[in-house]
Amino acid sequence: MNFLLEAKEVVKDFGGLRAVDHCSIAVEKGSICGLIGPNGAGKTTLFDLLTGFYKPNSGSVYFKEQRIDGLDPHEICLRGLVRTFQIARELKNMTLLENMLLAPKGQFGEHLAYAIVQPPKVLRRERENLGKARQILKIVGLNHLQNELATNLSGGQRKMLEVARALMTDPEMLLLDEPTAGATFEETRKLMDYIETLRRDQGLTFLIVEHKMEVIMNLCDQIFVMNNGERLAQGTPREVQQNPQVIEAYLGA
Amino acid sequence: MLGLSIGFGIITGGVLALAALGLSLLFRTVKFINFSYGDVLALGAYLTFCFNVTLGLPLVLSALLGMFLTGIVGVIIHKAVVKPLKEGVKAGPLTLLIATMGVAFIIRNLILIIWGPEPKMYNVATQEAMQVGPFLITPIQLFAVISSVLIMVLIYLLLQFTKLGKMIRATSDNIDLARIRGIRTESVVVWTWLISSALSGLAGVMLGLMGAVDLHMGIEMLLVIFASVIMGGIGNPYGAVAGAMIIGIAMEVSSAFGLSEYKSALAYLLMGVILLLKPKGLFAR
Amino acid sequence: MEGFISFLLSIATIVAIYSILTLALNIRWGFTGLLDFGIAGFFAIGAYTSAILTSPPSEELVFGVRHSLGFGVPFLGGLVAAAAAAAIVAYLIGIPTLRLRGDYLAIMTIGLSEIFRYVAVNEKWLTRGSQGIRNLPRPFSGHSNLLDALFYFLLVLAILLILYLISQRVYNSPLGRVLKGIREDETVTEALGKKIFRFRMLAFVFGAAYAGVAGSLWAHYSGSIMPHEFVPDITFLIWVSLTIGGSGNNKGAILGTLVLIGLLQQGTRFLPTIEGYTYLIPGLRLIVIGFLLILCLRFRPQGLIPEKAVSVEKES
Repeated sequence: MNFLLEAKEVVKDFGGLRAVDHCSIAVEKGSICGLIGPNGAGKTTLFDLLTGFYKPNSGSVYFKEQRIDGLDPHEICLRGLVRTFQIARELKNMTLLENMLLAPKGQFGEHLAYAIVQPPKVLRRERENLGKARQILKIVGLNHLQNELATNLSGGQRKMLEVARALMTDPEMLLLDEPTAGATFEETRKLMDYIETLRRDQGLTFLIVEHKMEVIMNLCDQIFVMNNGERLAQGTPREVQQNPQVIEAYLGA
Repeated sequence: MLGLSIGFGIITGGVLALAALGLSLLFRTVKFINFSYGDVLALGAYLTFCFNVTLGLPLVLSALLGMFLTGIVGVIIHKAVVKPLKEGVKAGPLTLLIATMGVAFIIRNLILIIWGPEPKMYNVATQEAMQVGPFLITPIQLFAVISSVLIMVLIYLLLQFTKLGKMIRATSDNIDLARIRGIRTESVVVWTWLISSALSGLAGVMLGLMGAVDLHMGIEMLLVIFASVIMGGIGNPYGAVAGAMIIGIAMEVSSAFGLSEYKSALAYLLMGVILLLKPKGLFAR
Repeated sequence: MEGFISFLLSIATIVAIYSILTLALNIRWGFTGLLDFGIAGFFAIGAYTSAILTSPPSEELVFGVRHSLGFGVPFLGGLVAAAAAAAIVAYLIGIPTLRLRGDYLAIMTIGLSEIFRYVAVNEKWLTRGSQGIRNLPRPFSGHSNLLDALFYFLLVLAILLILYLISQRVYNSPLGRVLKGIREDETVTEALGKKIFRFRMLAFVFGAAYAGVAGSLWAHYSGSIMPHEFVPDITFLIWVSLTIGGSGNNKGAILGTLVLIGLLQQGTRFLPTIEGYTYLIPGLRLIVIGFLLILCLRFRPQGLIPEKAVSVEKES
């Protein structure tokens, strides 16, 4: 079975503390998977390990069957795996559009000579990216704020921006860290629909950390449960719901 | 010849260690680099000069008074500059670094206006160098090294065994937790500024005793002090002391090999190399 | 009357040259968030490179030793070489130091600019040591003093304008966006696929080139250069200029320089020296500037001209 993203027995220690303990997960291409667990279970650390922000002490990570642990975060993004952050990290003093336009890969205008001269191909790419950015912003309901400074958004809107911005990198897979935190019911619904659409129409793959059970249960094909840095259980939403260890972990936490 | 250099190195290192200890203590508590530290050091030297030469007081008394006043200056910097910035505009460590650069220039130019640019000397009898083992050392230098060591031991005892020391350590480790536990963190911060600045003032006096009191001694020393602190692992006061000794000895030994003009440059290069290999310093916590 | 115009021209020229330095710092700190306290060092490299190359070949007694210097390169060559030299040194220094965290970078950059100064003082074979290099030619000269000064000012102004436009272009380009992204949140920018080190290096080297140009222009304005001119005070003045004017903002950078250097530093040159208190005015000047910096950081951190968000409407 070919998995798009695979973590094999990854371990991460911080001093005397083991944050991730021989954790293995495997995500199929085109699936929407959930990552749940009590606070402090190691979910965000796992994300950091998958995307190069930390190097595992042992174990390995594969993306598209190529080893990526040990690569820098920007290299991993360039390969098609992008992440968002638990606490939204919008670029505060830049507008929504600037946030969006930062993300696309391979912009000629990022080279000094092109930045100064700005030949037609740079301007053309800008227009294309601008069109795409506005389209995505419209879908997530932020288009009317495109020239607003990102710092003026509400909590839920900032998380939406994170997802929208990640999409601008033209990824194959997205790791979303609590994308609906602080979002209204309406915003949550909209995001869930959008994720489904992206999977269906563009074949994107998702691994989502979430605390809202209705999102997880209704959206995900597979769920991974983490506790104390380990993978406690995995399975379909129904299987996980009925797993006694999972129930205990959440009640006992 | 090498022995002599190492001797000078220990002396320089000892005084440097005093200053590095002060800066490191401060950084651990306030979490930003105080750029005015070097000029506060110079101010301490000048104030002591004022008491000693202008007012004719005995040296030790002048030094104590100078030290105390310098500590007060540190508290003023905290109350007048750092605290308003932190509370008014939520200034982060980079902004505070820039602001203290302004303070540094203010102090340096105050010194320029009040005392002028010519170097000053304290009222001490001329010194005969004595032979102590393989080292050649004057009584003043011996006094400086021994006092430095004594003061560092005192600071260690203060930090480990007194109530204030424990509060300082708790505040440095986690200021929010300390506040929740009932520690009056503002007082702790004020005390830390006082002690740290007093230490720098004392180091200034020692440097002035061994050489001269000069307008630029602050900025010249500052970078070497930084090098010691960063090399030793920022936030680790004892690492800073070790870093200072290493740099002091390295500087003097290199001097013996004919590179005396580049003495300070060597300190930065050494720091740079260590940072490359061990980005958190040698003894990072 | 001629004296007064001459005075104004000299202030204007100095402001223009320093404005280029402020633009340089703006690229590093304002755009990219690199805490750089070593601008004076690159200023010095530019000045010395240009001086060494453009001096007419001559021999002089330097502390009693015959020393020959100078290649007689024309002014423009010296200017370009100054920018290139500064850029190359920046690149070499950047490789080890640009991975450091912000406050460490600040200290390393000061250390390095001091090292440049030591080199200038001690490597007499290259720089004539503390005696400095004199008799530097000024382009367009040979007319009356006033016309010479005017021509040179116009030249500096033209170069300032070109450099300003280039910097603005970069700011409003995708490259400018990445630099701002790094300034705002390096982690996110990296997570979005940008190689942080490469862009930091670009800002560092680009800023160095600007500082090098400023150095060359200064050397030829001043006619002679000495190591003790290139002190951290210059870096300090540029920082205050940028902070007051509005960090992140080229117009602010120039305005800040005009206010600080023009009004405060140079404009007070004419104040008489008070008998017996030679250092009162120069000292007070820097004290006032120091206070200005702190007050600005406290009460108007965005500066006189705040940075405006880029409105993308105009581009499409």
